[in-house]
Order: sequence, then C-alpha cells, then structure tokens
Amino acid sequence: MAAGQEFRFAKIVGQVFLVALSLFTLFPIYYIVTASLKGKEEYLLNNLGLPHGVALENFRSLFADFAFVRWLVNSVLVTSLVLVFGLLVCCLAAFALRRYTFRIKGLLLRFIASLMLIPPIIAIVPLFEFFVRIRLINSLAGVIIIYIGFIIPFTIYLVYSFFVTIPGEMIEAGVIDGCRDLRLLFWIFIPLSVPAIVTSIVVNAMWVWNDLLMAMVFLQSDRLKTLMAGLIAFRSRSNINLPLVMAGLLVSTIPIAALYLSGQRLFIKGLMTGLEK
Amino acid sequence: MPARLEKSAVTRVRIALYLAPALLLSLLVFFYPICKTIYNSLHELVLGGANAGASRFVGLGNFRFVFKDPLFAESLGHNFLLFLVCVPLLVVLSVAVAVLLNQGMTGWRAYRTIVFIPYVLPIVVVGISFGFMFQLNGVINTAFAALKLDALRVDWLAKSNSAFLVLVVMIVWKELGFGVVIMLARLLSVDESLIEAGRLDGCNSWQLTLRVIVPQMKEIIYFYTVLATITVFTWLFNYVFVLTRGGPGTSTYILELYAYNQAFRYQNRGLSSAVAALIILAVLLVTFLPELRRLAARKEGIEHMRVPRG
Repeated sequence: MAAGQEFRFAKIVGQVFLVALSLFTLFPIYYIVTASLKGKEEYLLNNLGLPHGVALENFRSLFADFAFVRWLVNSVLVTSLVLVFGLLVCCLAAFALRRYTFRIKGLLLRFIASLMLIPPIIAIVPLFEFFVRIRLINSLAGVIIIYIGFIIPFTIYLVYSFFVTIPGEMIEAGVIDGCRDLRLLFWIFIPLSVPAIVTSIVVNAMWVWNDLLMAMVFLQSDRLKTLMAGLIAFRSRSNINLPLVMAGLLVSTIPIAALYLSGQRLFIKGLMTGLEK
Repeated sequence: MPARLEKSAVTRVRIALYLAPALLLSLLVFFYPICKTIYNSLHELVLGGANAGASRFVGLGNFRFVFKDPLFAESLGHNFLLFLVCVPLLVVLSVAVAVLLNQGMTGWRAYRTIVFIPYVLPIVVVGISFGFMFQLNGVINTAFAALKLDALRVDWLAKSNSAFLVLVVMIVWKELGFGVVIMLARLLSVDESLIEAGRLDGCNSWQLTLRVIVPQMKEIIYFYTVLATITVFTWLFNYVFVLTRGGPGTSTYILELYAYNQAFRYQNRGLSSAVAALIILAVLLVTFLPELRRLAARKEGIEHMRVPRG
C-alpha cells in the first residue's frame, strides 16, 4: 500500500519536527526555572543539569531586596491602573461609535485603526520633551497616561467589533425599559462583549507589563522603575549571582503568565473574532 | 420641531463627551508626536550660546547627514537582513506547524500550548536569559560540549555573525507562537466541503494541504507577513537593547536603536527625528500601498489590526 506507507512516513516526519520544535521552545524555559533553583556555586559547576534540590534561597533574597519588591509593586500598580482607566475610556468611545450615527464616524474608525501600526519609538522624543515641560517626567502618572494612549487604537477596535454584533432590537428594548446610556453600556454592551474585554485585558496587560522603552525613558529614578526597567539594572547589579537574576526573571513572568492562563480560552476567541471581522 | 432639535444637540454633546478622553489621549500619544517628529526632523537643536535650546531650520540637512552616515546604512542593512531571514522563517514555520497541528497529530493540544508559551514571556526576560545562555561559559556551550560538538563552542555574543544569529534565533523563538495561533484559528474555518471534494478526487493528504488548504489561507498569510515585516522594521528595540545593545561593535545595530541613541546618548534630536520620520514613512508605505489596492474590494480592512507588543 504505497499511499498508506507514504501517509505513515509523513506522520513520522511531522511528529519528529514537532518534537524538535517543542524541545527548542522549552529549553530556555527549562534553563530559567532550573537556574533559579540553584545556588551560586552549584550553578558554576553545573549550569545545564537539574538542580540538586529545591533551594528557595534565591527567592528569599529576592523578596528581601527592597528595590525588587518596589519595582514589582510599581508594575502591578501601573498595569492595573492602565487597564482600569484605559478600558473605561475605550468602552465609552466604542459605545458612542456603536450607539450613535454621526457624520465623521467612518473616518474616525479608519483613523483609529491606522494608529495601531505606529511604533512607540517615534513618539519617544516629542513626548519626552513635552513631559519635561509639563513636569511629568519621573512620575508613574506620566507613564500611565502614555500607556493608556498607546492601548487605545487596538482596544477601541476590538471592543467596537464586538459591540457591532449586538442586535439593534436588544438596544431598543433597553431604551424602552428606560436605560440611559451608561446603564446600556454597563448592563447590555459590556456583559455581551466579555471575550473582547478579556482579550483586551490580557493583550494590554502583557504589553504594559512587558514594556521596556517607555519605562526606561520616562522613569529614571531607581525607586520609580517598573519591573522590566528594574531587571536591566538588576542584571548589571547582580551579574556575579546569575541564579538570583534568573529567579528575578521567573518572578517577573509569573503574574503575567497567570493572567494569560486564566483568560486563555476567551483570549483566543476574542482575538479571532476581532481578526475575522 | 424645537424639542427634537434640542435632543439632537444634547446627543451631540454626549457623543463628544464619550469620545473626548480617547481622542485627546490619541492626539497626545500619536498625532502630536508625529507632527513634532516631522517638524524636528527639519530643524536642529541649538546647543550653546544665547539661543541654546531653540530650534534652527536646516531643511533636509538632517536627512542628508543620516543618509551619509555609515552607521545608519549599516543599521538599515541589519533591518533588511532580519526581514530577509526572520519573516520567511516565521511565515513558513507558522503555516507548517499550524497545518500539522490541524491534522490532529497525536498530542496537538500539548504542542499548541508549548509553541505559544514564548509569546507570554516578557522580551526583557527572554533577552536576559538568551544573553546568559549564549555566554562563553553558558549553558549552550555546556550542551555542545556534552554532545561532543566542541567546534560549535564559540563566544556567541562576542562575534558579529554569531551575535546576529543569536538575535535571529531569539526573535523567531519569541514570535513564532503568535503566528501559529492565528494560522490555526484560520484553519478551523477552512471549508470542509472543499477538502471532501479533494479527497474524492483522489488527492493524498500532502496534495490536499498544498492545493486545497494553503490556498484558502492566503489572506491570513498575507496579513501575518505584513505584521511580521512591520515588526522586523519597527518593533525590535527591546530585543536588541536587552541582548546586545547593538554590539559587538555595531554589528546588531538597527534603525530604532540608532534613533534612540542619537536622541538620548548623543543629544542629536534632529538626526533622531529624521530617522523616526523615515520609520513613519516606511510604516505608511507598508500599510497603505497594499491597502489602496484592496480598498476597492473590501471597505473595512482588518489588515490594520495589530496586537501591541513590548
């Protein structure tokens, strides 16, 4: 059976390829986790193998490090405030775009969509000069404003693409029941767009949490740094104790990975609905 | 009718109120910087003397300087090289993996999860880890020694070619998962009846994949190619900054790093803005040239959609 043999052969090649790709993908993660569990001396002797035991000393000294904890708190603070206010701003705008018709609506939507491609690097210098002038350099409020600005195009677009699918009769029914605009938004629009809300929370949280460029330019004093900017300083400060740095990397990843995992199913659904539109 | 007129005025105020915060913030973060960048690119900052801090109009002087600067040419070349290597790798691999997973390979769910993990990791974390892994006494060289591949034990990040290679590997490692996921999602909605028809015509699974399934993915492949191209030209700052800072020497310099260093290391605001203006131009070109062609066919293009990344 030539066809059957060929099929089996293709399947084996496919499996080999996928296994190789998985090993390639997992190796750096294996490295981060194992290295963070090793002692300083143990790492020097054995950087590749499994650790002797589960030594939590790196994590203990990490949380005893005042700067690191401070960066962690800053990151949590910045990310959550950006999400709360950013979503509010975007839901309001998307609501106006869905609920009402007005002359420049189409133009506005196209304008918002085209902003999604503007890379942050081009905004850095003008914003830096402007923020120096209005004294918002070195302030968490300053970066929060910038981050909110940058998540707007994607978030409005995504939320709007869900709002559009809400049937007009449903909105009418709400209006007849005496819902004012804000009640419509919070009782009808948002509950019907949970995948979009979750997706934008996950995507934007990852972006804000993981950003280095803005954090480096706009937060220069050590105690105001977010985790990502902090990690760069931490690497050079602790470069003789590599396992400690790896523990820092692991701890910085866990909150955002946990958020992603908890929203994973809705995330893929939301992203695809947005993409298919 | 005065009552109705009044209502519509109230409505108009409402619309404006709902849109205002989003619009103001977009103006601050996008519109103002774009205008100011173009203005800055035509001026230079007066550094000393009575007028220090003022802007002086220099026409296209900044652009002329940039085009003559060998470092700019080198950076642009690196962006092109990354485009030539990373984009095809990402597109081909993501289609291949998605098609394989879609055929219900044993363990496809596990593979999907694994391939997507890097997308969740912060670039800073990835960059620092790859930096450590590829040190002379790092874990990669330990692994090569264990496999008796001593010829491969080099100081990866200290030599131009190998540092560039590590950068490529890191970018593909991190970006592939996202491509696989969007390809997979597209495959879920492939027209089953066409596959059935192909099977009845006696296609084997290989022919089915190439002739029936992949052609249906044309649009998403195009979308992902545009996305990856934009990434490679304008979203790599974090990767390079964390892994090599452009080194060794200038062998991994890219446009964004050039713009960043001109502004924040050498205080050449005009030069930095000229490069930023070129980046804006490039983004517009990549986005709107194909868009203009497609405008006739599809009014609302999702081609715009981009997921923000670090």
